[in-house]
Amino acid sequence: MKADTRVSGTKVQPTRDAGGIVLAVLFVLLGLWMIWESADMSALGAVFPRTIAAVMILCSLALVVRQWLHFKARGATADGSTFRRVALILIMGIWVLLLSVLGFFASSLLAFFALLVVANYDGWNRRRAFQYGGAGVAVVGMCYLIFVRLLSVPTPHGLLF
Amino acid sequence: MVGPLKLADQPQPTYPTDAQPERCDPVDLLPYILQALSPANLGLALAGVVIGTIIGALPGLSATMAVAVLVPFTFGMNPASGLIALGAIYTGAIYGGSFSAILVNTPGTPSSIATTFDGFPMARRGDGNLAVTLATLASVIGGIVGALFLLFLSPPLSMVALAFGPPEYFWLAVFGLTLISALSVGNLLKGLIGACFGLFLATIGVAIVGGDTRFTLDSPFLLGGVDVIAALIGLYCIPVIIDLVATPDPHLRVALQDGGFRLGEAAALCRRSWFNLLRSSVIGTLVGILPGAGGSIASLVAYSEARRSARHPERFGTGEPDGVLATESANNATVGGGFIPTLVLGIPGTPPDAVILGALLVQGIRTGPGLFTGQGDIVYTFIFGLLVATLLMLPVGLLIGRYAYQAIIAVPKAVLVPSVAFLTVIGSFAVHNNPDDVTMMFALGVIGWILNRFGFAPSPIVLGIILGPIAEQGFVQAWLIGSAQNNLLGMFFGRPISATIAALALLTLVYPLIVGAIGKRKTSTQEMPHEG
Repeated sequence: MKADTRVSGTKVQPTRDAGGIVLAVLFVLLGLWMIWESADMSALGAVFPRTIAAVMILCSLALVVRQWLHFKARGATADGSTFRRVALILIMGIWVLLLSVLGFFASSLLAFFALLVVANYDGWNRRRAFQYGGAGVAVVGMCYLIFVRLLSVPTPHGLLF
Repeated sequence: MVGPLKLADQPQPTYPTDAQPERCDPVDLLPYILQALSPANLGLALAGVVIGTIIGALPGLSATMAVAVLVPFTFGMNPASGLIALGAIYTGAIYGGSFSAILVNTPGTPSSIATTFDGFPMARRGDGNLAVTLATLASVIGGIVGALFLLFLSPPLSMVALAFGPPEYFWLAVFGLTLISALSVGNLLKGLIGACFGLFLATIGVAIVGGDTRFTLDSPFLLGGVDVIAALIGLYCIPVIIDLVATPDPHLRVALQDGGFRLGEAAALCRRSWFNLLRSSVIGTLVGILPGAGGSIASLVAYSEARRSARHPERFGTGEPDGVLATESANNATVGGGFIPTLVLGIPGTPPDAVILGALLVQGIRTGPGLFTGQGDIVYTFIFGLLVATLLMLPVGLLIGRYAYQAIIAVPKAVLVPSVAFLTVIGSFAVHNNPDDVTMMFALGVIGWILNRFGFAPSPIVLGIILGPIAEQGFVQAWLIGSAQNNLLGMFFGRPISATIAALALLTLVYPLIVGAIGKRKTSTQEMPHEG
């Protein structure tokens, strides 16, 4: 099996894996923090995190060394629109934050419409706006009814609903 | 006043001789078969499978939740019918998880994690309908094997649950973790680091053994740890929608000729891979028997074994039908397997079994070794009802699967992206009705996307999250017992079952290296004459 890099829209090129090195250094730091934190734990609670941290640090250092010695590794460069990716992340981030503030249904509907705009490549006309908007209301409304009414999931109400 | 339950009153772990499985005479069983085929029970089985499949297909709604939500509806039914309804919902939900795993790379339930490995690549290359049909056939076969084991071999197999102690659970988790080597060929270091990250995430919160509060940053939100389902949705689904939005390319490629269900092709693949199906179903049944293990571990172990013994292991992960067959047969076999300790010992094999056990108690059924003889009419009617429900998954699954596949390829990307995003949010929220789980899902999704871009795949991280608690609990308990007995090595390596699982784990780990070395040797031998 190939390495599990199933990200659509990415091209894999043989290049020095600078991002991999940065992430490996971050994992070393995470491992060190785990060992530091485990000092306050009981022997029973600390044994597993310390073992994991040790393996994480060793593997990360080995990865850094391997990259540093000019071993060619697979770095990933993304094609496609970075703007749309960032926009999606921002919209979802704001959605998550507003979930309890505006209410589940209202924030979800707004986020759905915003994501519709970001994900659409076909241009807009009145008919499409009506169709896609209707689909948004139908999807959010139907799921909301199933979860809230049928499955009794208590969603946050917030300022609106 | 009812006095305290004496030890002697409790079900004994040994099986009494008057309740041996020889009683399963086909003639004696005929009334139960007819009872299971009554219109009311058939209707309940059908409705249960449909509801279960739809709930299982929605990420975030697990089989446990499906059963728990619908349990009160069974209280008014007779016990056998209620059990049939719950069993049908359970088996349908486990199967339904494969739809979203195949079509949107998000496991509907944790049991279908390994289905994403090959199911989604199949769907991307235009074989989504074939993958769904394969998953349906495999789920039916796995479900039947599990139910047959439940019918004929329950009492002896329930002893397996008792034979499994902490070291066996530890080695089983290690066995599951060896799959990392298969998931990270050419990138083993990153796979190991990813697994360690997953194991770290699994240690967040209150420790299972010892009760330490670990890595919570003094936040009450992290006390409960990282929820597996929220993590699954985030790590698998968020990276897909982030990249989906970046290009105008369609989500799934559509085959030029729409072959409908492609049932004949799928049946031929099943015939060709009959041993893989049988082995995976048996693995699923046996893992299902182990309390706390469940469908996710069963499917991972079955996938690992299928890959190890395959003629072309390098094809696994790129859309290999055998991968889908292994995982889907194994996870549905856990349904029958999980009922074995539930009914015979009163120990639930999987979380949905625990809910069903509660329903049994409400119905006044006392589980235990004598259940098969004392209340055989209920138990055998239920087992046949489960078999019927499993068979009903074939038409139901094919119809729902075809509709789901057509819906996914017909929906414009502009609508698909927000719809999937909405499902991730509501699915992760519904786990504990907690907005913090949505935050965790989203944060892990973005982290997973960044890691994935630099070659740190999501699957080893997920393996770490799922197997971490089992490995830690097994390791620490075995370590404590071994230390107390002054026999640590014997505890980990001296018990027959744990030694066997450890050997299998080692074999799985080194087998690809051995095969690779042999392949290189063969290639160099063939090239020798030319060089000369």
